[in-house]
Amino acid sequence: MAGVAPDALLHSFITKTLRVTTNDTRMFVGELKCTDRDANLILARTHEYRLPKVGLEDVVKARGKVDLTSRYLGLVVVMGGDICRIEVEEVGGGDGMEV
Amino acid sequence: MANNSGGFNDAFARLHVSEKPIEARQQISTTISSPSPATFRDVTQLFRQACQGLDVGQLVKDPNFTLFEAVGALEIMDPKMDSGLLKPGEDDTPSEIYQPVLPEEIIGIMDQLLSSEMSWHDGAALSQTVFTCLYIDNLLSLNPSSLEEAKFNLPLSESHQPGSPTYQLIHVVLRAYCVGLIKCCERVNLQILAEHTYEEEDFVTQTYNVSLLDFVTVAEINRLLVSAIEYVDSAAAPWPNNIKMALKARLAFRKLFLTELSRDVKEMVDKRSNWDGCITLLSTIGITRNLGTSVPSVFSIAVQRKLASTVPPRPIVQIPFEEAFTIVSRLCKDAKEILRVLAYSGATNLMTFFLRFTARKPQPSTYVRSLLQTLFFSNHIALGRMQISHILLEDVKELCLPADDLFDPRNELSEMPSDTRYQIHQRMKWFVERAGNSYITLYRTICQNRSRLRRNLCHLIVDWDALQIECEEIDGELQQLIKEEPVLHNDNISYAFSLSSWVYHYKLRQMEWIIFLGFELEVYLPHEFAGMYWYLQYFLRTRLQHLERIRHFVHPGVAVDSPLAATRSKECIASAQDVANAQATVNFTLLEAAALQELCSAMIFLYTALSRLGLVKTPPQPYSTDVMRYELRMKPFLSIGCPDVVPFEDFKNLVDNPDIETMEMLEMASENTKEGRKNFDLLSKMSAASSHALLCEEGYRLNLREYLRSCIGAGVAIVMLSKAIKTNTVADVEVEIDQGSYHPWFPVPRISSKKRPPLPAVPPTGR
Repeated sequence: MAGVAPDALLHSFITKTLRVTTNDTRMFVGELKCTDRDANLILARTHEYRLPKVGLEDVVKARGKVDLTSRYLGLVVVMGGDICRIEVEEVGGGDGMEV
Repeated sequence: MANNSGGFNDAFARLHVSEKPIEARQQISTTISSPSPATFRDVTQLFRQACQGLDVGQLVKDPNFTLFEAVGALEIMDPKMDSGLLKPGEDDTPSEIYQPVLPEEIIGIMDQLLSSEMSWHDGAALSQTVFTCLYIDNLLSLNPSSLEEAKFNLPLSESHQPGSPTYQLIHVVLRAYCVGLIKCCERVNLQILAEHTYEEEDFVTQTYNVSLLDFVTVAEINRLLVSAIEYVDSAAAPWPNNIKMALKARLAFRKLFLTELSRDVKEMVDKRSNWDGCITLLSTIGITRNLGTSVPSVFSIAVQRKLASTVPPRPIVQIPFEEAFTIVSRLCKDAKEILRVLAYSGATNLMTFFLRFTARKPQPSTYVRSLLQTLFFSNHIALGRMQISHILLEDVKELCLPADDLFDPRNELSEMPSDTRYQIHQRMKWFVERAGNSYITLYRTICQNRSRLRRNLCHLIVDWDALQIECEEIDGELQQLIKEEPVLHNDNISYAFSLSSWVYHYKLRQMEWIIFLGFELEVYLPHEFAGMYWYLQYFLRTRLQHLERIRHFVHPGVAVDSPLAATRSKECIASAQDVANAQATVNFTLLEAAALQELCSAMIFLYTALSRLGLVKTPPQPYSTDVMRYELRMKPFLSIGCPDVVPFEDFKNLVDNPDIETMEMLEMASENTKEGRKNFDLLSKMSAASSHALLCEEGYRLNLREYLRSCIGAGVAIVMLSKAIKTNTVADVEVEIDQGSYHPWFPVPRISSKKRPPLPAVPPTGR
């Protein structure tokens, strides 16, 4: 990362799909729209993922898929202080669709 | 055009909600099957360090993204915004649903569900009502794709062994009820989405991407309900008869209710509706209400954590059972009542029904108002079997009775552009299309909530004003085509101008409604009352003059000398009955307008007198002036060609009447109330047929009684005030404006002495 201007690096993340994990173990997958010095993030088209602690196996067995743990939230703000992990999607970066 | 109040964010959300789930499902399954997904790279350190390099206040953002949009973003971890946030100490694990063992508890849950459902009908979101029920959630959360899959997924326990009555209670009886209820919600949502209503304001149609069993047919669900009823009835169900009756009534109601909610217009036209069945079963539900034991633990706000929602969390709404019972009973009665419009008996009758039905307090539910719109006009068919042009032209004929030649069916057969008949037909066709649209919109607008009605009328009158001008032109052309004989009216030679007369009359009525609704919706402050009644009186006087003019042109013998007389077809010739009917309509409308005008005049004098005596005060207006307020009130009318808006100075003089003594003013007001009362008495003696209230006689008579109450109330206020002036005790007088006990368009000041207890309200009249 040496030599890369901070805002240029951050700009490279804009419109990329990020997976943000918050301190309460939820994950938010959405497209980065805006960030600032405190790493507050604005994510568009965000889905929330919550991993249930029990009953998951039963559900997978019963239905073969786990769709009840994800839900659509749309545009969200996540405060930098609440974030414990930021990941960026590697392939392609987003689904290529513009809003 | 419907449901657009959510703005871009909502539209955007909905757009993506519909396409995301599959993708989301795939994402989650990869996440779970492979604990360390290769597709995401951890950049936490990198990102945070890069952020540190930014200046305070510096933003890195997508150039297409504006901070204005960011205002609509949900803030994660904010308890007011984040519906997924767990309270401190709260566990994420879904607690086990309490499984009732007693049939009383099932009755209780069913009644709680009814309360939730009616709270939804009453304007709360599904996420606050039906969806908060853990059983509904359990049934829907696994995304069932068939009726077989739409079942509860509950752990087995000793008290709930398959086949046991306690098991059947939940998995047969409660399941059938829940499935029926979900389907009812689906039908209601479909109906409301089909017509114009205001999202969030009237109703929330959002389903959070949960399918409301739209793939299951009503017949399948009815079978399920029937088999549940059969189970309850059978010897296998070991409960006392009253419990069985209570359960059966609830299941049967669900079945009938669902059937009624699923009817199409054709079935309703064929008189296959059975709302009475629902009403009968409801009474059984009411009687057996006390058998139920409520189980509050099966409702939980935590369900909202799972719903795809772009809006902040909202609290649970569950109105008390009694209230829900009233709402559902009223819904059934209203839905039955609106079927009356299918028995079409003239356009004026139809309009009276719409006006009276929607003015009812409390207003009929959104569902019923939406259904009324569908009954009135859907798939280009009016009232399930008619052309809208038929109703429109009847409306014109009932009031103005234009020349017979305009309606001759032979006109339509002519294909020669130079032929008079052809030319008449072209113009009438234009009228039907142009006015037809405005006419349909007017009916639909009347079905909106009262505030929207007022607001939309402000837009409609602009359209009707334009329509009036266009029709005047067409009237002019038509009168030449049929060689209309001019008639002497008010010392002027004049023509009938039937079409534009009709339009003008409707426009004036709408202008009156705008101000009347201002009173009903308590838009005006007491010190404005006199001025606003002055405007009403001004519009009504204009309409009275206009009606006099219409009456002058409605008489037998019009257009006898037309060039088309020789070839005229017999069926288009207005019969003596038609002429008499039109005259009767005009006379009735004149009487009604005159009665209202007298009452308005009385109100002007009464409220002006109160202002003079300092009993109605102008509140301090630090940021406003009377002129500005006047401009605001007149805004809807400024662009209207006729009647004009009066300049403020003139208006002030006309309302304040500085030349008239207060006592004299009160005497005039008293005369007005007497005249008004006489007119309203005459109106109440008329038959429903001649009042054009065949479809809603009860509501019509109630409305007349309320007018009379206001008349009498105003009369009492005038007497009290005159007495106070004569005895010089104005200083001891107290005034309270009563919006509730009188006609909503005519709030009456209640005048009492400060020292004595307030006078009792005026007793009901009109018996």
